[in-house]
Amino acid sequence: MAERYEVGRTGALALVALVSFTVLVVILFVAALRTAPFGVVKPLGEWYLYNAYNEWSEWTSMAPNAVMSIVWDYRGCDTMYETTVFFLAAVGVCCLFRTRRGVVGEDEEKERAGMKGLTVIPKTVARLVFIVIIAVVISITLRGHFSPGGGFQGGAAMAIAAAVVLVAFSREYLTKHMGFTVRKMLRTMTLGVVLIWIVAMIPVIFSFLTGAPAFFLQNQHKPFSPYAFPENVFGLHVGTFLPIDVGEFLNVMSGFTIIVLLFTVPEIYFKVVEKKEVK
Amino acid sequence: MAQTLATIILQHYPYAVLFVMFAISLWGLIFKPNIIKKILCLAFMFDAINTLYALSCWRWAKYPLPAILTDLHPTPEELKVFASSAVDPLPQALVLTAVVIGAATTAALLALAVMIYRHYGTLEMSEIRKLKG
Repeated sequence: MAERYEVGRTGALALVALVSFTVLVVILFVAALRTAPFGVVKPLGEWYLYNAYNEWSEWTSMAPNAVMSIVWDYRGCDTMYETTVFFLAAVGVCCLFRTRRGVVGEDEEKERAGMKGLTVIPKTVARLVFIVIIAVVISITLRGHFSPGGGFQGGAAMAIAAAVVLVAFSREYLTKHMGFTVRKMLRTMTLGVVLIWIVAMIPVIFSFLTGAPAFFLQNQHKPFSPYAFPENVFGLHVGTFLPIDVGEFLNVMSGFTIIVLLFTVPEIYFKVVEKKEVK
Repeated sequence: MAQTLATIILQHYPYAVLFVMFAISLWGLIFKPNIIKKILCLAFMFDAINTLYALSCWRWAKYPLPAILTDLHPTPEELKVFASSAVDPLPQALVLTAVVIGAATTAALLALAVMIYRHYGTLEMSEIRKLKG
C-alpha cells in the first residue's frame, strides 16, 4: 500500500507529476477540440442531409433519419464490423466465464444464492415498467429509420428491462421463469447477426443470379446499379433498415443481457459448485 | 423551469464541464490503484469524448433542425432548406458506433477484472504486482 503515496512524498516529484498531467490533459483536450470546425457543417454532412431522403437523387437511401441512413447505408460496412465486434466481445465474456460445466450460470438448479428480490412495491412497479419498456422498445426499434432510434438503442433499452427484473425480483426469476438464460441469449445473438448477414448478402446473390451489378449491404439503387430493396411496403418505408434494425436489436439486447447475467453470477456458485476457493 | 446552477453551467460552459470530466477520468486512470476504479474512469473518459463529438455537430443557423426529416413527402426546396439548417449527422453516426465499441471494451475489461479477482483475491494494482513471482 505504501507505493501509492510515493508520488506525493517529495514535493518536487508531486509538482512535476501535476504539471505534466495538466499539460497532458490540455494537449489532449485541445487536440480533440481542434479536429472539427465547430458550428459549421462540412460539405460531406450537407451531402448526406440532402441525399438521405431525396427521391430524385441517384444516391438516396430513402430514410428520413439521416443518421440511420449513414449508419446502415452510406457507412454500412463500418456498422457491420462494429456489430461483429460487439458479438465477439459478448462471446469473449462468455469464454472468460467458462468452467468445466460449460458457461457459468447455465446450471440454475444448483444456484442457491438466497436471493429473494426486493419488497412488493418495487416488484409491482417493475412489472408495470417492464411492459412500458417493451412498448417503448418496439417503437424505438421499428421506427428507427424515420424517427430517433434504431436497433442498437432498442436493444440497449430491452437489456435495461431485463436488468430491472433482475434487480427487483432475482436472477433466478429472470433465468427460470422468463427464460433469459445465457444459452438462449447466445442463440438469439447469433440469430441477429445471421439476419443482418442475410440481408447484406441478398444483393450479392441477386447479382450472381441476374448478372446485374449489385453490392454487399446495398439498400437503394445507385447510378450504376439498378438493384433496390422495396422502399414502400404496405405504406411503410422499409428498405434494408427494418430487417437490419431487428437483427441489430436481437444482437445488442442479448449481448447486454449475457453480460448482465454473467456479472451477477453469485460468488457462492464458484465456491460451492465449482469448488474454487477465492484466495 | 427553475434554472439550477448545474443547468446554467451545462448550458453555457459545456466544454468546461467536459474538460473537467476528462481531467478527472485521466487522473483516475493514472493514479488510482484499484482496477475497478480504473475501468470506471475509462468509461467516464469514453463518455467525455463521445459527448464532445456529439456536441461538435451543432451549427450556426437561425432555426437548427435535428437530422431527421419530419415531412415524408418533401419537395426539392424543402430538402435544400433541410440540408442548410439541419445539424451534422456524421458525428452522431460515429458516436453511435463508438458507444457500442466502448460498451464492448468495458464489458471485456470487467470480465478480466473478475478473473483477476478470482486469481489473486484482490483488485489493488500494487498487491497484484507483489504477488508476481
